Amino acid sequence: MKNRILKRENLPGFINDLLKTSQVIAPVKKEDFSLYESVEKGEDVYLDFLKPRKSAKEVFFPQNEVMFYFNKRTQKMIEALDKEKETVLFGVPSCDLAGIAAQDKIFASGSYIDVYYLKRRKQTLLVGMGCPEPADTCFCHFFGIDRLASDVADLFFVPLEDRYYIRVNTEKGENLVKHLAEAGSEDEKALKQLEEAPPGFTTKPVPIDEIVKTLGDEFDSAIWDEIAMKCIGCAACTFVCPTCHCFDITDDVKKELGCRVRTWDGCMFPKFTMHASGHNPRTKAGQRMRQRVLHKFSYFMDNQGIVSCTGCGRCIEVCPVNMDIRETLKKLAELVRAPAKK
Amino acid sequence: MSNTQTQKKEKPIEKIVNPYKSFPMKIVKITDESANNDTRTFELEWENPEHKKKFQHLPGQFAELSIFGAGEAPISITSSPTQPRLQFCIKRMGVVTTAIHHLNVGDVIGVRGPYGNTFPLEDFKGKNVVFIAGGIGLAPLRSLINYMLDESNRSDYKDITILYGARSPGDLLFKYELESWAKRKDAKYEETVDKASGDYKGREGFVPTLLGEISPSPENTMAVTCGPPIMIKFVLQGLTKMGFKPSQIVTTLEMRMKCGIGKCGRCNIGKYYVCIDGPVFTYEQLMDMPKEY
Repeated sequence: MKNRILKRENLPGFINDLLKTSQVIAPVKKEDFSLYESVEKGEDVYLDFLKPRKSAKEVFFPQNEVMFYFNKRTQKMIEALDKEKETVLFGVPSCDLAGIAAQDKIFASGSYIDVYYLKRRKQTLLVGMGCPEPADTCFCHFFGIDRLASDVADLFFVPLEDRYYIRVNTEKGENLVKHLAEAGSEDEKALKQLEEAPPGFTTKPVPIDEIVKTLGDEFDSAIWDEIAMKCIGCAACTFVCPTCHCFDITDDVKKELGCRVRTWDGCMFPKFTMHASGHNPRTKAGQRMRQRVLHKFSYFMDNQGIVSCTGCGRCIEVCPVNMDIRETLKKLAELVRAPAKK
Repeated sequence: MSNTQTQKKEKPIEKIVNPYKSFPMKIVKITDESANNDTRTFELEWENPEHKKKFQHLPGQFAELSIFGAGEAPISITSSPTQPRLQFCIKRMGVVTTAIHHLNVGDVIGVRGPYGNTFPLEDFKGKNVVFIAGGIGLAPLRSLINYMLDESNRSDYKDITILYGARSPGDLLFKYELESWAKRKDAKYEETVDKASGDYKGREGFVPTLLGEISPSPENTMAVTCGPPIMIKFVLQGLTKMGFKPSQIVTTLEMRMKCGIGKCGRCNIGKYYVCIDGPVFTYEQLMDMPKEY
């Protein structure tokens, strides 16, 4: 499959062509941030912000979703009509693509397949977007994520000066760009230059592998209470996180007709684990912080072979009390290295 | 799609059963189990025989019970697979269990499952088995007890001892069955209540005390326990003192759950999800797990 080139000025036209046959979801400008939304015309796509405020997970796993309807009186289930929509998800940075790969492991594999997720995932073509320069909060380099390429996407756009270098990863992707010019030696040279330029991350990476190996042993450490001291339990971090996948299922009823709804939930909420009896295994903020961090950097590795953090930095951006997961990781690196504590 | 995970099992999506869909069962019998009416056993019959064929459970598993308009709750299956109908013993606690308590014979409940692992049936074969249950903790063990006592399986196991206790005589559940267990020649049944009342002539005292009194030998024996956390704590201490190894002790955990299929994240303890890796764990596994239950 040959890589292609698209002039920046031709992007709206390219999107408009896609819109003839598919729904296109892409970053759209809202005040001083952007969100992934369905676009009406090519000009709506807005790429000046590095990443949308919320992650791309909601395209497949929406914040609120009707699973099915029912009649409360007859107790009969009414299946929701699915609207089959071929979709192109455009402009997704590598951190979000890595997030999608993590979500796939939860929802699209194992003994039980989540049909709601899989349906959307299957009918969506992924188009990645490279980040020329990381934002202050970005730390995907902690995890060795390539900000200029990802094999999770069908196509991956790398912004060069006046054009996009398009990496073609799949046949499905190729079909969308076949008509574009093939990348030439000048383009390859410009790409190489970008790849080799120092990326300018604001933080030094923490040795994640080292943390992951022994973090599970730190369950009883006092560090969790210390880290969580200023956490107010708002769980905003879990909502914007590309890998957090916890949800609640509730019934919503109006007279006879009702629906069963799936809604994002999070381990940072105090009542997340409260039993009907009132017993709660995680009553303290430190216990909940420990759960979130260990789940991402220890349990997910045990079960899925990857850590479930992609360094997108959104949790840092939205935290109302300025918690920074990079600081947490730094502390944990010191903790697992300190032999005195063992 | 480039992701290899989803490409491996290329099953057409229309053929994948929606795991969140429950199937209707009719209530055919309701038994009041406790003196204060807060615990009832619901006996259910599938409305569609096809669903019955697909729902094959083993002792230790649970199901999600659904009342449209109230929600879903994970409930352990108290009937043995050797019994003709599914039974759930339910204490009125929250929104869903209260809604279920409001139902009558003939009403419909949605059921999906069976979920979770099972008691390690193979490990029990050729061994003595001691059951130690407190209160509604008998409900999940009852499935295994009746499975082992069934004539088709009884010869697979050696001595079966059942120790059961509740707060008061009125809180002893499944009384009709306790009597029949007590009468059996091929099983030993002993009970106790924290505080005797009325004309109750039985033993008074806590379950761990009863366990100490009976003092089963750990030799070729497995212990299965379920009950309130405080009881479990002292039962584990007692068994350990008697020489039971952690691998000889089995229990079943309770956790808040929603999906029942390892997706919603709620019942996660360490690398385990209680809904799919449990609810049955050995004490050996519990010692290796964060104490978050």
